[in-house]
Amino acid sequence: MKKMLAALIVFGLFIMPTIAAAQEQYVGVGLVCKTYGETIAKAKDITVMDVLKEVLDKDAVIEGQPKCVEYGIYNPFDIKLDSSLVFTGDIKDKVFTVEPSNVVVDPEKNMLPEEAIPVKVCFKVETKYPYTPEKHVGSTTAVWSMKPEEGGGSGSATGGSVECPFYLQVNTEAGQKIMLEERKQALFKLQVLVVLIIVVVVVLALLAVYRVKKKNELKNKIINVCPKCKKQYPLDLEHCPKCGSKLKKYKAGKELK
Amino acid sequence: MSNKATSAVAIATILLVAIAFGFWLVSPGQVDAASMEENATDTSVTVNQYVACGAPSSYANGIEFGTLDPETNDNPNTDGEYNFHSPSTNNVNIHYYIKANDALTRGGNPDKILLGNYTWDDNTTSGQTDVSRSQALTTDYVSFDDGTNVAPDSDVYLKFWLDIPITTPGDYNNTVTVKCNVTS
Repeated sequence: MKKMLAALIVFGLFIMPTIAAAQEQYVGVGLVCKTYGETIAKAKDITVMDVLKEVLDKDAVIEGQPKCVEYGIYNPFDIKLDSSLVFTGDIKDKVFTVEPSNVVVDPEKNMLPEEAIPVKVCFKVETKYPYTPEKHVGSTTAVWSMKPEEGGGSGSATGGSVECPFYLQVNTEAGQKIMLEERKQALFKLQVLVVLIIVVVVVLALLAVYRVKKKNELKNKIINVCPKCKKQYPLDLEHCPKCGSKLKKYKAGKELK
Repeated sequence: MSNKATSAVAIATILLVAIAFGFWLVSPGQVDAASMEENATDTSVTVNQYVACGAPSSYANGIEFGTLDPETNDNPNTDGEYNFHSPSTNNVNIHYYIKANDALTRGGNPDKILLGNYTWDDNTTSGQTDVSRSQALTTDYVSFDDGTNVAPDSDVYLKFWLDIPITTPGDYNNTVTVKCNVTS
């Protein structure tokens, strides 16, 4: 009897809390966020280096054309629940339409992020976009909530959410054309740079050839010099026209006999 | 021209060309002012981030304070600390925020327990939440104090306290939401 009582105490004191702790269950959802539209360079600052880095603006939205973004919703936790995707911030502006406007997903529990349910959301800008192109900032949020237990007295119902920041750039078609023009300019600079490098290399090569040629010429040249006046005269003269001394002929610094 | 002079001219030419192109490379293209205004653009960088935060089922079932007497302060929620869990599948650290939708209200009645009476505290260590460090809930998201850079497979502990003013007896309720996002 005493042994049984002791076993019960041990079970109550140590094993029960361990089981309770091990059974802690979590509720929530996960979101696969993609960081879209990080600004690297504004078009007006585009340089040759940017072209070399292959800067593209494929995440910009052009008026009248939908831009679609894919998110993933998953539930890595123990309890199955519904989640809805909502958009906040100025991306949900009047000039945008978001399709679908309300997404409800019920992912299975214990999912991996790689198994996330894909949710494709498309943003469309009004055809006559009234403003100059600008960046819209907001967030995409997966929201969950559960109904509280009945008769809990005073307190709060609860919910949770996971949020991804979102940046959306709107360009006008005119802006796109200017972008392309600037990119062409930058590419042109790159081409000129290559041509000039080639020119410099050719000039240096020619200089080197010229120097070698000149050196060889000096080696083979015969000069007619007056030993007194130290002046050089044509090869057909035999005497110095100034002092009358006999001229001497040299080749590569040595006197010819 | 001597050899030295030829070398000097060649080196000077190369240097001049290099400097000129250095300036040219870093200088932006020539565009008119009007086009400059229209040209801001973004480039795309796509990096998948796995962000999830889990609340204990006790929190999901509602924050309860049981039956309390008027004019009592610092009444803790009956479930003790709630541990919010960042799963090991996250590949980023996360930041927690909290808000309430409104004051605690009694059904459709005008009676309210204002949010100034409803406080909370968070801590990354179990058992360390403290009413003396607690702050009142607000209707806008407020950052956790300690749960701002929570690594994968880690917990943040959250606890609530409620002051009951002199008010009409009954059940008072509202909705509390905890949000998480990537630590910036």
